[in-house]
Parts: sequence; C-alpha cells; structure tokens
Amino acid sequence: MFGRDLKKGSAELLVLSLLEERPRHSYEIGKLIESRSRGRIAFRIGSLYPILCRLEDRGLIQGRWVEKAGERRRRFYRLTPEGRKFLARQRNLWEQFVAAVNQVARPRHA
Amino acid sequence: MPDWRSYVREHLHLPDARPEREADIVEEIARQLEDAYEEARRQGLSEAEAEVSAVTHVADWQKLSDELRLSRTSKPLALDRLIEQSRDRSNLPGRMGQFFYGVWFDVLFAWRLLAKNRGFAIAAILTMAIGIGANTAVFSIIDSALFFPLPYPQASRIIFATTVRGDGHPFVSKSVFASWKNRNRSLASIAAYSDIFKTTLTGAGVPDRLPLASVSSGFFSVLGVGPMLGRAFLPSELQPGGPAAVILSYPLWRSRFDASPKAVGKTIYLNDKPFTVVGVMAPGFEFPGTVNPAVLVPLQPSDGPLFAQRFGVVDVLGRLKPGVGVASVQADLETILQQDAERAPALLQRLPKTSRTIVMPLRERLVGKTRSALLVLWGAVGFLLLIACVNVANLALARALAREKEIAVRVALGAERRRVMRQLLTESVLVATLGGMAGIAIACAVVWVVRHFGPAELPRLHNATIDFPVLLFTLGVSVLAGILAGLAPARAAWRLPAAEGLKEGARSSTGRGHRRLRSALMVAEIAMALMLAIGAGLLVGSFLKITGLDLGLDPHNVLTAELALPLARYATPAEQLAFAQSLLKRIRSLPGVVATAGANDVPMAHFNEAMSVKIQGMPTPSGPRGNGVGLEAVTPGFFRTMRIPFLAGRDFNVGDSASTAPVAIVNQAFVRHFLPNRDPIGERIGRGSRPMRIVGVVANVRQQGLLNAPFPTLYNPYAQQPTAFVSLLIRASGNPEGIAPALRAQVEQLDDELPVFGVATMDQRLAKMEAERRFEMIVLTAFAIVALLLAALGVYGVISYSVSERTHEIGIRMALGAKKGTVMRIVMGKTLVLAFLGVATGVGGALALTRYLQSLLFQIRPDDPLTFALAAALLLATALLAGFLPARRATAIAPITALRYE
Repeated sequence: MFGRDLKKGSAELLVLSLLEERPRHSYEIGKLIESRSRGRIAFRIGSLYPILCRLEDRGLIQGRWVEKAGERRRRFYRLTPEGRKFLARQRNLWEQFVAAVNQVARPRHA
Repeated sequence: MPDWRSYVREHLHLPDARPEREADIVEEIARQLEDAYEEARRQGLSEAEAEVSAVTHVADWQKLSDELRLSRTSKPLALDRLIEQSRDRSNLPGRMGQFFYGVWFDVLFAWRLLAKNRGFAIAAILTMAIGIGANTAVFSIIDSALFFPLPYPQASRIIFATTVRGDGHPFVSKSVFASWKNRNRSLASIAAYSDIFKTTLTGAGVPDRLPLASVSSGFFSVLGVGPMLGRAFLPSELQPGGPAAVILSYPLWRSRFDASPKAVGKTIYLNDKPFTVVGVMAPGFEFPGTVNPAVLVPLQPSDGPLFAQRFGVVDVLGRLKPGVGVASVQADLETILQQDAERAPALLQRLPKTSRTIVMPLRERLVGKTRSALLVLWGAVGFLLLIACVNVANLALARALAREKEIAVRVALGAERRRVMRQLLTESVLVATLGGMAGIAIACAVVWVVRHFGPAELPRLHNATIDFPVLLFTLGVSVLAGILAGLAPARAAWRLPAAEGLKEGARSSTGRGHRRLRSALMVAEIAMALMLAIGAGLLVGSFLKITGLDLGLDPHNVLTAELALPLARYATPAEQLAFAQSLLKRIRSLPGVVATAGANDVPMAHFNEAMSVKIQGMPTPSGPRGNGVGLEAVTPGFFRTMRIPFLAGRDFNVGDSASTAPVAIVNQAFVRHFLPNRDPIGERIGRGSRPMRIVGVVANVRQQGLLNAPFPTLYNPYAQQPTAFVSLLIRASGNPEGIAPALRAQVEQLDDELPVFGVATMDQRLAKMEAERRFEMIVLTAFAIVALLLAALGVYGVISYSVSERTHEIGIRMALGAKKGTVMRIVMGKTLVLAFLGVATGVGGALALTRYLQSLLFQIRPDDPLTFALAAALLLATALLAGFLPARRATAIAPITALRYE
C-alpha cells in the first residue's frame, strides 16, 4: 500500500544516508534519526531492525560484529559500494518524486 | 538486569532460519534492548520501569518475526516500489485534467482502502444506509404528500377562504359567499363548493352510494379546468328550481357508460331524483379536497330537500387578481363580512368576536393537516442521519489514529494538508454514497410497506415512489452526510503536527484531541437518540391515552351498516319507520344476533344533525357553544345494543310513537350544560308547540370523534323523528362480520334496489379513526429504536476504542496490583460521565423541540416528566450496557499482553 511504502521508503533512505558518513550500530541509527529530526521522527527497535535486515539482504549494507573491551559485542553496519550507488540514484529519484508530489498537491487557483 | 537474550529467544520465532543466523538476530536484538534498558536507567527510571520501557520497543513479536522471515525472501524495497509508482503517474495531463485525475485517484485510493478494511467499510456503509435510507423514504413520502403538482393551471394563484368561529368551526354560509362574490375587489374569480356527501345513484346499473359535491358558478373558471366532454353548468342550472344537471367523473363515466360520448344527455337518478348528464370530467381532474366526488351538481342558493347541506356551510375558492397577495384578500373578505354583520344583527349574533377570516393558498389547505406530522417525521429522520454520521465519523476517527503515520509522512514529504483533507473527505463521501445506494434499497422496502400498510387517511401516501427527484435528494444527502462524517477526521488530520505521526507508539497530544472529539460526538449521539426517544415516547403516551379513553359504549362484537332510503319510495315518515321496523325485526331473528337497533348516525361518526334547544323555565347557558346540541334519533334497544349505561330514567319503548307525547333521553354532558344541579327527569325541552319531556339520562359517548370532548346530545325516539338515513347496529354473540351476508340478504328481500354501505364492525371503524395517529406513532417509534441501536453501537465503539487505547495503561495498573473492580470502575466511570452529559444535553434539546409535536399529542404535555424520565433511563441503560462489554473486556486483560500491546 502506498502509505506504508512511503513510510518505509523514507526510513530506508534515512538509514542509508546515516551510514554514508561512517559505520554505525543499529541502536545508534535509531537514536540518530530521533535526535537529528529533533524528536519528530522516532523508530522503535521492532520497526527499524527489519529494515536493516532487508537492506543487508539486498547487499546495500553489510553488518559486522565488533568487540570492544569490557563490553558485549555490537553489530556495526556500513554502506557497500553498491549501496553508495543506490543511495545516490535513489536520493535523486526521491527528490524528483517529492517534487512531482508537490506539483500535483500544491493548491491551484484555476 | 534482565536476561535479554533469553527474553528475545522466548518471543522470536524463526523456524526457517539457519541456527547461526538466528543466533545473530537474537543477539543483536537483545543487545539493542539492553541499550534501551540502560539508557532508561541512566535517565533515572527504576529497574522495573526501565524494563517496561525497553520491552515496549517491540510491539508485536509475531510481526517482527514475519518481517525478518520476509526479508529473506527478497521482498522488494519500499523505495523501489514507490519510485515505480511515481513513474507510472509521470505523464500527467493538463491542469483541469490533473484536478480530475487527482479526484479520480482519490476515489480509487479510497476504494482500495475500503476494500482492505472490510469490517470498517461494512459497518460504515450499513450505518449510512440506515440513515440515508430512512431519509429517502420519508422524503419520497413528503414529496408525494406535500410537493405534488396541483393539476390546475397557475395553481399557486388559487386561494382557499373560510371564516372560523372561536371554536374553530367553519362559518361561511351561502349568504356570506354571495356577499364576497359580489363585493370583493381582490379576486379575479370566486366559487363555492359544498362538503362532499354520499348520494344514492340509480338508473345506471346497480344502485350504489357515491360521493357527491355541489359547486357554484365560477368553480371551473377558478380552477382553470372544465369538463372534457359536454359543458359546464349553465346559469339557469345554478338558479333555484332550474333544470337538474350533473357532471360525471371520468371513472364513473367509464364504469357506468362504457366511456360512450352518448352519455351526455342521458338521465341518471340521484336519491331518486332525475338529473341530466351535461358533462364528463377529464381523467386527471382532481377535486380540491381529499375525496374525489363521482358526481358534481350545481350548488344552488337555497337547497332543495334532497341535498340538505350540513349547517349550510360552504368552502370558498378564488383566483387572485394579478399583483394581489393572500393578505390583501384576507383583509378584503374580512371587511365585507364585518359590513354584513353590521347590517344584519342576526348574523352579528351568530358571529362571535373571536371569529376571523382565514385565506390561504389552496395547496396549504390540501396539505395543512398532514404537513405537521410529516415535518415531524422529517425532523426525526434528520436526527437519525446525524446519528449515523456521528457513528461513521467515530469509526473514521478511530482509523485516523491508526493512519496518523501515513498522513504524517505524506505531509512531511510535502503533501498539502488541503490535499490530505480532500483525500479523507473523498473516503467519507465514498462511504456515504455507497451507503446511499444501499439506502435506496432500504427506502424502496419502506415505501413499499407504507404504500401497502399505511393509513388510507393520509392523502397521497400511496403515490409515494422512489423517482428521479427523490434519487437526486438521496445523492445530495449522501454527499452532505459524507462531508459531515468526514469533517471530524479531516479536522484531526489538519491539526496533526508535522512529523508527530512518524513517532512510533508515541502518545501524542493529537491522540488526546481525538479522544475529546470522539467523546463529544458520543455525547451528541446520546443526546439526539434521547430526543428521538422522548418524541416517540410522547406519541406512544398519546396513543395509550387515546386507546384508554372511555368511549361510553362497548364497541366489540358490533356490526354497523348504513342505508339511505330514497325519498321517492319512502316519502313519508310512516313509510320510513315501517321499513326500519320490519328490517330490524328480520335482523333480530338472525342466528348469532344478540341485540339490534337503528339510529340516524353510527355512534362516534360525528353528528349529521344538530339543533338549538331551550329548556323551559331555564336561562340559556352562556359559553361558546350556546344552546346547540347534537341530535340523534334511535330505536328502542339502541342503548342496550351499544351498551351505553343508563344513569337515570328509562329507555324508549314501543309506546313512544308519533301519536304519543314527545320524549327525549339526554346525555351527561347535556345535563351538565343545561341543567346543572337539577334532576333532569321530567324537564321539558321547548320545541315549537310540542315540547319534549326528558325521560332518561345516559352516559356520554364521544360522538364527535375520539379526540373531542363529549358534546351535549339529545336522543329522540326514531318513531317520533323518522329519517331517511338508517344506521343499523347489530351486536353479535361471536364475530360480527359473519352476520354481514345475512344482513345484505334481508335488505335485498325487503328492497332489492337499496344499496347497503358502510358495512364494518365498530372495532374496524375505531381502528380507522386511530389509523393516522397509530401510523405516526409506529414510524416515529421505529426511528427511535433504530436511533437507539445506532447510539448504542456508537457508545460501544467509543468506549471499546478507548479501552483498547488504554490497554497498555490498564495492564500496568493491573501489573501494579489494581483490582478488576477498579479497572471496571475506571472504564464505566467514563461511560457514565459521557452518558450523563448526553442525557442532560438531550433533555435540554427535547425541552426546546417537543413543543413542535404539540399538534400530534393528546392529553400529554410536551414536557411530560414521566416520558422524559423513562426515555432518559432507557438511554442511560443502553449506554451503560454498551459500555459494559468493553469494560468487562478490559478487566480480562492479562498484564503481560498489555505490556506488549501498543
């Protein structure tokens, strides 16, 4: 359905964009989305995790277990080269899409 | 710290995953929950609170498991699909095209949403169908009963005029009419016509009783229609003693003259007097009254003995001069009446100060009585539709909460709020339109029932159809209802803060706004249902009062029939008496007959005759009625047959004949009016040279109809006052209808030319008198019941939703030790508060509105406290019951489920 795709589509884009800077673990991704959107967008673990899995299955990101001293290990994700290309293309398309939606939805005074 | 790994392992089900993959997933999710837990602890939450906070991160383990499994089966990314969809729509047409494309897209989108949410769709469409169906049905009835076209050219220029006395009695005599006709300055033409009454037709096949009206000159020019065959009445035929002419109705011409043009010029007999047929009316001709007469005869300035009009009263029609309004006609006619009154003191005496001339458009005259009842029904279904709208709005609001995220994302992506609102309204209008379609089916069923079972007394009810104007109305109502029901969700979407909805599981302020709105809608719903229930209750109360009335007689097991003796063959009182006596003797010997009697009127069917009386040695009583009494000639045994109790004195007997001293029996109302505090027996009533002596007093009978107070009545022995009208009253031991064939046979043996009419049981006659009121009551009660059900559904929906919204909270309360009773009290408390608010609002609304019901009520005040209390109790009980089910469900919530619930 359109609405759910939109929401998920936007989440996918957010995750890929955050991983563009550097690898991050999944809880950090969730927190970053929340803080950078100044609390206006928040994902719970139950919603965000499947998105990560899906992106990894598509080969756009890759996860790796990293251990630090005195802590339990965490899984860090990084963007694959394929993911980087995908992000560039999708970002572009996404902007076109948003522009197109705006063009249709903008009030008209015909 | 909890063992998150085993917690996740316990909840996640990934049967297909490889063990190492599953271990990875479990570990990663557990790590994140641990992060969440620790963060919560850092923020100062207790261990238990931090655990709850972490646990709520995964709302639905089943769903998460499914999604993880799906991601393995290369489910396409939402982004890919989105972009694909946008490509499909990239070739957009021009501006207008875009608009319609947008609307069309909205409709398709709404349709897909509905198809996906079957439960919501069916509930909403059915609710709308009930509301719109009821409105369509009532509108089709109103359309046919109030807005039918009058079959006269420029019908809006035709007025009806009358003068009524203070007691509402019409008062236009033929002499008043003559003055109006000669001296008015506001009417292009004016005409009078008499009350319709029945006449006996012979000389054209089987004898029959037919409705007859007499009309004055100018009648056809006022209406603008004339006979289709032959001609209108000539001036000579309108003179006293002029040639007797008659104009036939189209149905009579078809049935009696085989639609032959040669009918004109033929002679028929009305009450045994010859009349020449001079014309035939067209098939579409409608007499300006509720009954279409079969024959029209000239209204002559003074009546011949055959057509004695009751009280000499006529109705007056006029056609307005150009540029003249109804008000100036009224002033014109009133002035003429006053001038006459000054010239003729006799008229002045009969014209009390309270009398007034009333002029109204003909249409108003024809629909006036029905209109108030129909408008009440219309108001009632209006409320019903509002309740339906509220229910649908509530359903939509509940869904809107679930869709907050979808809407928020669309807004965040740059969709105009206006556009989002249009989408929501489109959905709502689509629901209402689908409901309207289903409603048409409901309306067809209702109209069918009304046409077949509605009272014959409601004019034109039986013409009601679902035709084009009605469908247009339905469409309009559907769109309106859709917009109305869509306003609340659309408003909620409008107020949604930009990205609020993107927060998962956030208990946002909009949620609170929604809840307030939904609560307000529930209050409104209860209030409207209560107003309907009170209205219906008042009508039921009136009806019970009417059926509980003391009629003064026993109507069960009585057969009635009417005869009109033709004066040509029964000219003298002796002949009339002889016929009546021999017929009664024959009937008395029939098997199954307990008692029988004759009278000149059937009891409770209004008086045919009235007179003024003076008690010898007593002053004339004052009061609006003066010294008028109803007159009834009855045979011995009449009171026994009708079981009218004797209060004093004796019944008539065979000794009371034309050759003995005149005697009379009076009713209680007579005694109270003329002879208060006196023994009436033996008093003499002056009447020419032969005063009547009162020999008996009987209980009151509601001769003037069920709703009118008993009128002073004077009973004569039929033997002393024979008339050509004989009503037969036969009390049977069993079902009186079984006697009807034998009765007809007896009459035929005595006179095979004499039609028997009005054969009906007394019970049937009474039922007919109550039919219209019964109909109004049943319809309004049906609406009220439907409204109650809808309101109950609405309350159930609101409370049920609020319980599911608060599942989490309730679970925590119960986990912290709250008792079931406490939870029940919390939920029921909310119901109770809202229900009380609704009842209070409803009582206020009903107090303001029920006075419009006044004309439909009988012996019950529009603010009858008992009705109000009962209806309010009913509504409260309904609301509490509707709230009880979700409340009970709330107490059954297991804390662990609740904590996982979002």
